[in-house]
Amino acid sequence: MSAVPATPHLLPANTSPGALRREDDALLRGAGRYVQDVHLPGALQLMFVRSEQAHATLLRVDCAAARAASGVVAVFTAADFGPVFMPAINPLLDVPGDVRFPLLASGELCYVGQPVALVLAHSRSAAQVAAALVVLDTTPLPVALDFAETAATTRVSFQCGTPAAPAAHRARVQLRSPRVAAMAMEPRACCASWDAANAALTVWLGTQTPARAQADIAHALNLTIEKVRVISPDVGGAFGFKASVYPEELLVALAARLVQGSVRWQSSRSDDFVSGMHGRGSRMQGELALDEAGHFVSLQARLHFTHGAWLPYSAVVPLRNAARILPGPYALRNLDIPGHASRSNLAPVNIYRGAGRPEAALLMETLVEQAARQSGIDAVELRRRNLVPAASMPWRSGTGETLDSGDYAQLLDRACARFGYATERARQAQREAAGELVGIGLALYVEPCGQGFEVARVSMQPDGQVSLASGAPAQGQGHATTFAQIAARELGCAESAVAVLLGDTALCPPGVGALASRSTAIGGSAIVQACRELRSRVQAGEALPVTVEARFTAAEAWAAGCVIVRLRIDAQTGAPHIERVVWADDAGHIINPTLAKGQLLGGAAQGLGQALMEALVHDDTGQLLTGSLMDYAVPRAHDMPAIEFESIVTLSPNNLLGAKGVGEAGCIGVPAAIMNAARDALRHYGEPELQLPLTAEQLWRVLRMKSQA
Amino acid sequence: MTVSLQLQVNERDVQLSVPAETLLVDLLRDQLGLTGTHTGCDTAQCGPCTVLVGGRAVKSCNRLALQCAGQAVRTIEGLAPDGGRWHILQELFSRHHALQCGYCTPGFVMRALAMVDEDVAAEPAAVRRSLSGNLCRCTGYEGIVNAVCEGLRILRGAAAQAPK
Repeated sequence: MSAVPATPHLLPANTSPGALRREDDALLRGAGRYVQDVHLPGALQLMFVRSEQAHATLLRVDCAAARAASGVVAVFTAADFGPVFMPAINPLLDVPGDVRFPLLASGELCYVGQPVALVLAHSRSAAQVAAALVVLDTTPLPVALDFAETAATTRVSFQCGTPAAPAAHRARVQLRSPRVAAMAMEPRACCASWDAANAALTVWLGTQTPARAQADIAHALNLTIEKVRVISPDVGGAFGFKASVYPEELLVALAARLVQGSVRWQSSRSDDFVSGMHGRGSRMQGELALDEAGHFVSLQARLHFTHGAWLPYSAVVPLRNAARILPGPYALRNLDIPGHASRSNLAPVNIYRGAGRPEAALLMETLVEQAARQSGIDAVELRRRNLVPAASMPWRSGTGETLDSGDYAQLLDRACARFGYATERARQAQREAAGELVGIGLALYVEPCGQGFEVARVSMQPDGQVSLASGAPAQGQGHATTFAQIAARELGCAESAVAVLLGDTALCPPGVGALASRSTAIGGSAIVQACRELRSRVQAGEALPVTVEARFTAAEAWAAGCVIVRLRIDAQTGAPHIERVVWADDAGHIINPTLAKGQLLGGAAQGLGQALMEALVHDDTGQLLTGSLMDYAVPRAHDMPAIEFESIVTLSPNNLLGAKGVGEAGCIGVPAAIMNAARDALRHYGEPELQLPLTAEQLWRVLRMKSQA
Repeated sequence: MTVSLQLQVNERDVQLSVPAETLLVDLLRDQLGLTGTHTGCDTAQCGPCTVLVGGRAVKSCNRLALQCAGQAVRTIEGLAPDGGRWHILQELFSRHHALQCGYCTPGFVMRALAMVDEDVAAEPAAVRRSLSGNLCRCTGYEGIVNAVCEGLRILRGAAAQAPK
């Protein structure tokens, strides 16, 4: 096997024996090729000048001193590019009015971090010095923080049955899901190289959606798609943060053409915190009504999401997801779920691992357990009485969603059996009698996993070697390994005979991308379909080489799971300690159990982070206070508890693998279970309105308030 | 102001003239083309820049190249030189699925290598605490901790025999 692949993303089989994944060899040797590692001789370094005010009139941008600085080649403002706007958004919800947003600020500064000008220089340090010399002439304007704006950019509404039906018990909660940062280990980076002879552009960009990025860049430059090549090489994590184009990336492309050369840009961690797309950011109210027998009578909720200063491509997805899946695994027929998203003078908000599903699970499951405490019915028993039965699948929810498959009772039973629920409750009672603060919390969640199409191209050579190209790229998931595994199984060949190509629009078929936990189910099914056609054509006598391109379109597959957490709160400090986590997950047919488990663990870590320590905090003027890792906490190795896994398999009828998604489950189930465990631990403290993140400070204040009362 | 610098990188003598403010990470990446060492923050918090200097783990984003004059620096590229057979830590990281996107991985491997000679027990709780200077956002750490625990045991057991 040759050591150096012809193109960076043609991944042959393992070059090191014993490698778990074919991706591992290069990455472990330090031979991974992330965007910053791409060698681009003669490339100019690009640095942005950004707004330092959350809202202001922009009167003038004075670039004279910057242009005169040493090593500077050019300084560009909005005037140099003409009117160019961020691309139209995914119209999953109606967004009336003109919401176009300029790439560089023109006339108005709308959030701290907004790009205003760009500097091109021969070195990063020269660009940095020059950027600091650009002067903005501004007049401050009032700052709208999240949720302050009364106008709705977009709305969602689900109504069904009689939401105001009479009930014996009503549980009401108000919950906030603060903005968080995806915090991929690799900050954003982008390079572009303009080929004057062919009037064509090559862009290196770590992206979850290369085909869409290609289209967005082509549109911004007024080029046909064939003139733009996007290469997504190794990507150091994404989690939704790299799913939609940024103004910076379109500007890198425009700048490369303007200077007729190569340009490279690297964000910094600070820039990513301040101006990168944030995740979550919602305020939710809910009311769950039950009858005397513990049957859910109705669910009413009000969802308010922030989208920040402008709308990234997937901006309306979190609101829509939260609303449409809110009833979860429960047979609820009376619903009233209005929601809206509004603007603010803060960074834009887009999808982040879970994308609205965590918010739904948090709200519904907190309501369920509060209802349990209010009604005196055990929280597990209350759920059992209200689950959609397995025999009723596919289930059409009150919000019009079709849940394709699932056995929620089995998930609940399996998780409880592994946890030893009755024994754990008895032990909890003993420990509480001895003065400890111990809580047990569950989250039973559903998880729709992507729909739409994906494309695979498979070729077999006369020597039996197979190459496979997919429209779904990877940012750590191990797709090349999984896809090779799927192809080898279909074709009846060795995995070592299958080379996989991802992330290059010139060499891969156009697809949707790696988001919504869809790559295995939909991307994998496209591979199955292509391989089946290839095999039948070869068996029918067609001469090699043969190439097949297959497009597979799927309706949504719904994963589900049950997380149970036992949590202790230190009575002196309020510090929460997760003592035990049991997790039963149903991701349908699992192709590679080790990689699937890796996804569950990674999602759980981000879920735990959101539950216990992560929050982006702004001051009243719209300045980000948690702008570095000094202030923004993310889980470290010692923060992670052991997790006991159980696996249930209910096959999805909606794709050729019976597969469902697994990547986002941890972000969906874990925070909700931790919230419930904390509320359970403090249930004698007057049902305190705990909010994420569940910091020691918050819990300590609850303890102090009660002890002072 | 440029300075003349002499040091050893992955057992090769290196002599360079660099601006005085050059960080070690930038010397490694930009001057020597050793791009396996990565930056992930601007506050020396996250760890993918971890290399060995004089056998000890150092965050190369937080060290001037100048400070390493005359010292031996070891990066991830030095573990299995010339595309050769994996170092045992690399093998363990793969086997335990201790990497997904790979961005933090060189930092963790170098941190683990330094840990062999530190007073850190080869068991999860101690290893987790010792890894507090290295962040991973993909794996949830379980594979990393398992790989490092096993690596410490093997390398300490082999310490009396073959060199690392």
